[in-house]
Amino acid sequence: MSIIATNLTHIYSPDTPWTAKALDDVSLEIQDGEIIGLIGHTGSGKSTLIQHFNGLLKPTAGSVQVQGIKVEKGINLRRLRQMVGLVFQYPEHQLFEETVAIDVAFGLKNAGLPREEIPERVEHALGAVGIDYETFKDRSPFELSGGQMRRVAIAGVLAMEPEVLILDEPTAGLDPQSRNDLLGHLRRIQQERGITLIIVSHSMDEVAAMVNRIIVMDKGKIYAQGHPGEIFRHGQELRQIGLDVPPLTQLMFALRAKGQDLPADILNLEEARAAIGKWRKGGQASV
Amino acid sequence: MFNSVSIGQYYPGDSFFHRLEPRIKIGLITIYVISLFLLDSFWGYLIMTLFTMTVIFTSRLPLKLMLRGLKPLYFILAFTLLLHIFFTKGGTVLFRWKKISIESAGVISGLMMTWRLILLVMTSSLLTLTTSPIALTDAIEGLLSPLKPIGVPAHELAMMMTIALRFIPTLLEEAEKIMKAQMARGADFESGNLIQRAKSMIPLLVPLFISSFRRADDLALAMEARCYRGGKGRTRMKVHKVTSLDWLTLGGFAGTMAVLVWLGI
Repeated sequence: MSIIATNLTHIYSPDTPWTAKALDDVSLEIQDGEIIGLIGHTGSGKSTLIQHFNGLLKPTAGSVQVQGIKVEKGINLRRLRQMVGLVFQYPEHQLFEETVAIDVAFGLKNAGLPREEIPERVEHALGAVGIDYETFKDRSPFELSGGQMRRVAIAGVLAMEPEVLILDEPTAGLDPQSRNDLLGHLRRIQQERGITLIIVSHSMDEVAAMVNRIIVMDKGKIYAQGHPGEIFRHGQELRQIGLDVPPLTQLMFALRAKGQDLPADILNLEEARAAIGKWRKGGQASV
Repeated sequence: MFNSVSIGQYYPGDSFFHRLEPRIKIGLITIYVISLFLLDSFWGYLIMTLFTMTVIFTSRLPLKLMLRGLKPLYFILAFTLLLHIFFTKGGTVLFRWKKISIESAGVISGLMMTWRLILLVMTSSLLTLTTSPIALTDAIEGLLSPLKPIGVPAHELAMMMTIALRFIPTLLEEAEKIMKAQMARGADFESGNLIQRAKSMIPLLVPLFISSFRRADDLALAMEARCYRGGKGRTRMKVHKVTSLDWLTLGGFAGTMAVLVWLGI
């Protein structure tokens, strides 16, 4: 079971002056339990791609299969959307209910879940994003802080217990502390539930350390994909399509450019520290 | 789903009527409407129809567009026609059945009234079709500004209209985004009876209201920060100037109409 896109093309407003090809012959496969970083700058087609995964958009040409269901007209969208949880950019803008608990339960009610099961699911979902159920359930979502609002909104999708969780720029506009908290929660949710996690971002830095695979999109096509380390080795080409590799990788590149023997596929601070330590020992030995 | 909504009905072009100063255009149409009610004969209507048709054709407005503008009025037009046919009496009797009769005066006045209504709507829509919304607000401000001394907030009204127009596309975009987010949570906007559908709009409307208020707040703050202080002493980027050709058009049209009314056509 997985997500399979075959020759997927999507054209907005076809046959009008505003026609725009957002996806151009995209083929890809995402396995169960994978953590994917979907990277590309604005207008590269990443948001269009993910909206096909839960049936908000339908392919103009080609096909998308999610867990064996082909996304096309007339399918059971409710089931698909329960299976594939999609969290949009700035999800806190979708909050509308009087209390946090009722808002998180919105999706569950729509899914027709028995009333007595709802509170438990809500509590579980809020707990997963680090919001204490007893303290927050009766508060208005509009009196929370920005980071809390965002986590409540994500809980609203998590409560449906999707097998695939897609987040569009989940950390946009958050301060570093809330950003790290949120990414930590996501990592833990993925590990505990073994779900497929797709994080859309325009920043390599953010996703590098936590994903198995990066898919780089440019102008509606897949530009490159692979393990983060592999992708970062092509830092120069990435810069040409308007993307930057993380600062640590840039540092390694700069040192390598000066003729130093350092790996080009550094992903986090620990790896960098180890590599630099090794390099300095090596360097001292040769002096 | 919101792509089909066009903002206002402005149909861009570069014709004589497009280029007329917006205030003059409002003046012309006002005179036209007044004359239409003063004139009361077949020949009078024919001349007015010719005026309207000339403007439509020289402005290169598709006739289809004009007819589509009449669509919401089909019911009123039919109602007016039938009312006159059955209830205006006079002339020869064309048809009689028990107590109901159709007489020639009724048919004639029915047709004339319907014709008048069609001309009225078509011609007033020419204003919005050939003038961009921004030019129109400027014109309204210009026309209202003599009333400022008696407390009419001309500039504020125009500013409100401009801002409202500016935010229509933004709000539509926002609505679409929220709708998609709620659909991802299983919301259903399309099925159910009227009450269920109205209820299903709550998850869309509440966030939309909240974001509108937030936007309004932000905008007010941004305007303050740039020292916006209302109308007094503000200059415009685009100055609409009334040319002698504009005055000539207005004068000529007003003169023609006066003569027609005076002749009693």
